[in-house]
Amino acid sequence: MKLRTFVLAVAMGCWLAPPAGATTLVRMSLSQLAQASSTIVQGHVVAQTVRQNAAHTRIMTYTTVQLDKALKGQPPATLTIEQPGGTIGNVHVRVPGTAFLRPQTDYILFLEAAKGQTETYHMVGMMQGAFRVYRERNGVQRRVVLPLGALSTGSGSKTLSQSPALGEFQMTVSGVLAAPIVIPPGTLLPVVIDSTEFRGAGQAVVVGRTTSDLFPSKAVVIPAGSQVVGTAQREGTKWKIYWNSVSVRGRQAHLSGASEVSGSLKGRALVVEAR
Amino acid sequence: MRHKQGAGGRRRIAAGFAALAALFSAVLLFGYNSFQDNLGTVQAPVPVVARWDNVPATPVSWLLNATTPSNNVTGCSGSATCIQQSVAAGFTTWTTAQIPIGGTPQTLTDVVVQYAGASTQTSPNYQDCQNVVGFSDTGGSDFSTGTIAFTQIATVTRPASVPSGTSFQYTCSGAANKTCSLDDCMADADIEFNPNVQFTTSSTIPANTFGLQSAATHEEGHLLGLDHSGIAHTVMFPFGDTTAAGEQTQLATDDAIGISFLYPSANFSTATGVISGTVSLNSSGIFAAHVVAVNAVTGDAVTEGLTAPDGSYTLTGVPPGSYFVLALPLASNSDSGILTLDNFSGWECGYADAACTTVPQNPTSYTGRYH
Repeated sequence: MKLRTFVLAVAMGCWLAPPAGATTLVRMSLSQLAQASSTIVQGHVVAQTVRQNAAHTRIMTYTTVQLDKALKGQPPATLTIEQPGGTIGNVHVRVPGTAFLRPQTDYILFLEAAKGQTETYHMVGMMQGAFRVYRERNGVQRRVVLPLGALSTGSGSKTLSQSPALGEFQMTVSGVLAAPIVIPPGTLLPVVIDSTEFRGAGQAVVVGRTTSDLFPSKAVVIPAGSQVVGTAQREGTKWKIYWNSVSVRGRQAHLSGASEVSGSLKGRALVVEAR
Repeated sequence: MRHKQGAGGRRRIAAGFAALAALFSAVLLFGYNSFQDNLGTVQAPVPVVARWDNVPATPVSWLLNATTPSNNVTGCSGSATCIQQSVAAGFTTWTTAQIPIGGTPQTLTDVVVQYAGASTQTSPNYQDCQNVVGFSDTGGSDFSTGTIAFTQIATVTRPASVPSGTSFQYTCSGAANKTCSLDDCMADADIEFNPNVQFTTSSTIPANTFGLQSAATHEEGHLLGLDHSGIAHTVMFPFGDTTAAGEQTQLATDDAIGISFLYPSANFSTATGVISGTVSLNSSGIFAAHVVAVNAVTGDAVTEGLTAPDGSYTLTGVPPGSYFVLALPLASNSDSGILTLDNFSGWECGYADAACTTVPQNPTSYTGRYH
């Protein structure tokens, strides 16, 4: 085997081998990143500050991003990205896996809202959610740097190249956002029932939420807290619940599954198997 | 120009390899950002080796809050004892790390870790100088979707007023001051497992579940000072895939070299060698190229590093043997974007394109040698 062939084969083997299980992050496809995001924006970094939290137990970095284009959601004109880590004095705090957003740089960012904070966001998948946009040396074409090198779209049929043109990348994002979310049969969804609304004798609408992050396929993610809706029918002393849908960051996915429950519904923890 | 724009940073071991750590190093494969380890410091910082001081005389200690409010740890009932055993087993993996020397595994690290008891801490605290492993982080927003666990690491840097070679003290909230005799000491490292992710202590890993010992071993590598690796079969590789979730609890050679570099035994430097050289393109040094030492006989990717701004690289802790040095074009160019694969003749297909049938030309020139 020629050296260059050997080297390529080794390289392919090294990086295409199934990743091991000792990890910080789930390697997410573009479909999963898009589904898990409440907001996807193209924007540029205009400011960055570092400060402690109120309890003085964490150091956080806050990056201000000016919105240039919204690809998902209805983000404000200015967003704040909260990330762990930063330097205060001679103390330096870091969390491996965190992306650093460079000043005066353009990005496409996959974001989810920070709990309890308005206009503050976290990056989906830590470093995986930041795609730097740059202009080619000839000044014409703008391209996107994929954080993981090549990136699967999740369908298994397409893999984005190392640095696609900005327009191509935006179209690919639009495509994965338009694709239906199909929950594979056999997926087990741990669910807690939050509320019930009775609709006449022996019938109720049941609303629950998932309690674990689920990655049932490379094309689908169901973040913890996703709303699950079904209808319940009284059958003797039991309730039979027919699950209809799950909402993934505002996008509805069909869910077919049934559960049987004795006693009260609210607060009940179940495992729903998708058919 | 790159220096002015702060194109520094480092990848691999928080310490990195000696020569790289002494220079600016850079981006890791798969987008490990050049500033990642320097978050919050907008100006280019100079990476320095950070590790626990005075090891092994002073063991690295850890505490455990085994409370799992969401009952997300299964297997042997997720009991505190069981969880402690899984976490402790991960540390043992690191303290017994071995590098294959001439076909015989040798322990070339001298790191000592001890369990210091139970903790009630529920979220990371970078100031208390206590290394707490926990499952009950109350800051749910700490975990974005896709995060299995994280380690928050605090290091203290020698103040400018303290001459090099002189120890300095740093404060710990609620505890006595500590002393650092290095330029950069690890002061605190807390591991938090995502309460929204399912873990198991069982060796059989169900779908959508992660092996606790496996995830713990990775995070404990961070706690001891290691950063992520770009070699997929290492414990310190940052990404996993739940559809093929496996239990990796055994270190790869790259992992063992990393921990041995940080906490070397007396014979580490004599038992292993160094590969050094330069990666260049059109006679210019390539910054932040990913350099991998590939065993010429087995084809295994053994260890790796990144090039300095002048294109030079040094891989230390390399077991004796014959190697190919593979250089991959991953460099960041602060002036006008990245150096894409298109910059390298013959590499249009890219290393990650399985459908590529064209045999690429070697895209780099390198001068690697083993000594």
